[in-house]
Amino acid sequence: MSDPKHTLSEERVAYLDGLVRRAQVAAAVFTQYTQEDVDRIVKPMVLAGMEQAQYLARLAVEEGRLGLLEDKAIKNMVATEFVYNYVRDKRTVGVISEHPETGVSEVAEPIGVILSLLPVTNPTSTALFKCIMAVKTRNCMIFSAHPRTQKCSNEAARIMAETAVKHGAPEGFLSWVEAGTIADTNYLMSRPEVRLIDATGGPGVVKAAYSSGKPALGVGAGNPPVYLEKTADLDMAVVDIITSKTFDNGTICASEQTVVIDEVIYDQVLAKFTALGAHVCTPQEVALLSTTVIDPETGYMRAEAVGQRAVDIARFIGMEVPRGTKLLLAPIGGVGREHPLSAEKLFPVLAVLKARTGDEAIKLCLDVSHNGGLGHTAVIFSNDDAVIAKFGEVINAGRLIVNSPGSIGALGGVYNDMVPTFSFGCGTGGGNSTIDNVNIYHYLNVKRMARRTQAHMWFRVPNQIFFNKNAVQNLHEFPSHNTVIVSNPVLEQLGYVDVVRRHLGGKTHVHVLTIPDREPDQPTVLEGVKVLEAFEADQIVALGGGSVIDAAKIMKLKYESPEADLEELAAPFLDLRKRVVEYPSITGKKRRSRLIAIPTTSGTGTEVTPFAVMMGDGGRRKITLADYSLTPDAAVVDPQFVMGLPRAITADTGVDCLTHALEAAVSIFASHYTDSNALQAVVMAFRFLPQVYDDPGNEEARTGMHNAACIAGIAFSNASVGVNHALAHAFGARFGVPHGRANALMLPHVIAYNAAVPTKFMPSPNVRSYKAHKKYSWIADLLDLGGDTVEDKVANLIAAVEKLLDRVDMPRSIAELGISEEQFTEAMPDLVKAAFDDPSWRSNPRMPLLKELEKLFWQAYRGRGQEQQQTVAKPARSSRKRSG
Amino acid sequence: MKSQSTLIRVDGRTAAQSLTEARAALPEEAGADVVLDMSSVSRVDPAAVNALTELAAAAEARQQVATLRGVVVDVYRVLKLTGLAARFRFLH
Repeated sequence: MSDPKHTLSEERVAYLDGLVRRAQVAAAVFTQYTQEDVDRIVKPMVLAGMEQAQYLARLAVEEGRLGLLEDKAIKNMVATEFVYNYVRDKRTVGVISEHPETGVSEVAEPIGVILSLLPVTNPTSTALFKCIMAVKTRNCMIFSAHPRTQKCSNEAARIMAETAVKHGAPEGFLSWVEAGTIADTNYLMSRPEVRLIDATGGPGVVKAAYSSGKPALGVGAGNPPVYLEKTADLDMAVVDIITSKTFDNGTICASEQTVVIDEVIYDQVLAKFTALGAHVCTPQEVALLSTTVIDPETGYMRAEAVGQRAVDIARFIGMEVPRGTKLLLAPIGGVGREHPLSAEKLFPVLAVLKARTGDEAIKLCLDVSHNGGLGHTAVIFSNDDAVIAKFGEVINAGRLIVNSPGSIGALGGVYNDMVPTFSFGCGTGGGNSTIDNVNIYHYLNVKRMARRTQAHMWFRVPNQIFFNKNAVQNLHEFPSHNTVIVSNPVLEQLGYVDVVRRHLGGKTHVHVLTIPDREPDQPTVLEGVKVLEAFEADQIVALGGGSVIDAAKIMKLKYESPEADLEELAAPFLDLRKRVVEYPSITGKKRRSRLIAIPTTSGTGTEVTPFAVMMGDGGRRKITLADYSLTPDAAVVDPQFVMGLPRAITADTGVDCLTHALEAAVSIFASHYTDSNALQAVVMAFRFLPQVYDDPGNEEARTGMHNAACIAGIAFSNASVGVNHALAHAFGARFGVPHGRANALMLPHVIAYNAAVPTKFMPSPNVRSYKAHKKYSWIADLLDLGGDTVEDKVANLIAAVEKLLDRVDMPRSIAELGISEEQFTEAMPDLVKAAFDDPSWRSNPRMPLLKELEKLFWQAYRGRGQEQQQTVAKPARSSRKRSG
Repeated sequence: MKSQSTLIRVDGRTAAQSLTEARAALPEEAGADVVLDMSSVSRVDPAAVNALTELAAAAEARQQVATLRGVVVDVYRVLKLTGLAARFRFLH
């Protein structure tokens, strides 16, 4: 692009630079003004504009030689009084809105210097409108008026500027280019101090504004269609259309350009128009108009016709019309260049189309709108809401005016509650950056100040938990017609199913469903659902380990919501509150059943958790469903069901319990509510696990361990787990190692990892400091492990955990399981990927990097007892309190 | 700051005039240190901004860089927006 300076003389450049410099200084000074300062200036400006409305209207008509003085005076009043009514109590300085519940507030930042281009059709009203907007938003404006209406535009600006400065506005904040040319405007557009170009005018100036490389507000050409539908109030519609199309001799670009009339009312409507002063043109007259008021070369309206009266246009082109004719109606056969009058006509000539059906009518309106007026305005007269809705849906127009005049309706604030404006954005349809009625908010950079929020948390547990020996007797309190007991064959053989059956209510019909004791797959779940359906179960009692209880949870879900897609519900998520998938609501469900969970291991804690694990993807991977709707309605934690638990399973599930508790304690979702449970469970596990391992018949120890598992479940139900589980899931699935055992292999290494200074912190608004190491040291204190410093206590905890693992004969290393280094190396990429894909680590206090996951796997491979090469994070000196 | 600095106090109530007078009071000596105490200036108008612009030009002509002391945030912002901040040193 050539330098816009080179067509201007030095003096002219100096003059323009002076305008810019003064505006820049004034804009800077304006930033110091308060809301009160600004509002004190705006009101007198509005009053001055209103007082001079008629004077400015006269100037505009005399200079521009178009439009109607009386209507221009009204426009000046709307541009002042109505605009002021909208802006008067709006905050535009400092904090303009606050949302205490989100902690976000909006703060106004002025634009600075705005170059404002004014149109020939509404010169003074647009100038008045923009001056008020500029002051209200502490912006400065340089006006560049249309050459045909420079004097009246500049006079409007002068009146505003004088009044404003008199009431405290900074000198130089409003200025205008005297005897401006296109070269002047191009030069001003190029000045870096000009921050925004607000171009109200024809396509040429709008295009220049957008081509300048500056942010720009533009307006688009209009070619509004108006659909006169058969259910409309015809008398009102005809009056409104005439009012609109003749207002200021049709110069408002939102005025109706082509009326589409339903065939069934066509003749009636034309008669009404004629009775009120419209002339329906003959075909010959239409042909004459087509070649005179529209330039056949370009297809655009002729400038000489803009804003002229209907009688004057008729006389000028040699057409005879009745005296007092207000509007020329020109019936045409279609839309496009072959029908010239289907283009925009800013004068009182209205093209007319007849539509045989409603469908055809809307299509014709689409044709008109696409014929040079996309995004601007469209009008409909109808009393059929469905038609109005369809019209609004398909027509691309920023202003969809219903049952009111197009031009005055689009201005806003007169016939409706739209924001009043004299600049109509046309959106991308019209090549504009906005489709709005341009208003004060387009003259502001709205900044957002966001205060840290603390995510609200929860603590959710089953409605009822019955614990200690013979807690199963409480089952009789739950009324049920049909209960299905879900269990596994071993437990049935052991007689546990009969124990449960005995304690169900006397009138309850009972059916037993046994399933394999492994992670359930879809076929197993669906088989179970069939049983629930056949039996019309209103209660499910899940008696078993984690797999059985998880299976029962999923069966219940599918039974109550047959449409549920289990794989989809297992979709990953980062934040439970923002997850994409929605679990089915139980409200309104035909089938509802109560789920009571009775664990027979100590344990997964699944009797109180919202999680359920199953095999997905055709049995190739484990998937986790997580939702509080999965939490059982009641849990029965009765140690009689674990008295016979084999030692190996006792150890595996006991270590699982310990891992749950330790991970919940340091999770980023840990809270005072979950800490009490997590830490209690750790202490109980340390105490009771060795006892039950050595003496499986020890009832007190079994009770303690069984309760510990449930309490740990409560903790991690609400705080979640961490990277230990992510590693264990990946490793256990790949090599077929029981879950508890897999956890045991990782645990000491993970404690050391979490206690060390993180490479990456896990972002969480609820975490104000890194404290995993401190939590571990508190646990060491609770266990009375000794140690003077946090580092010592963490080391002591790790040693205690290792000792406990040895005590219950947990393998010390992965290598010990017979997995070769070669096998492990080959599996490593998949292990790391699976661990990173596992959502468990997302609540870990330390965010694991892939290479760190790999390192942890190798540490577990080589085994515990190896020297840790980590640096334990040191607590701040002043921190002596335990509660976090 | 050299011990021979010239200190000029700017009256916040008549900032433009005060700054014009300060410009006239600039020492002739090239490279001299000049400190303008702006602590009583809570707000500036275009005339004050113009006066500061002229003062900056006069100082630059004498190869001096004037230091502004005690400028409040709102005024500092005005200086940044007008490009004047780059022509002064600041003592905050």
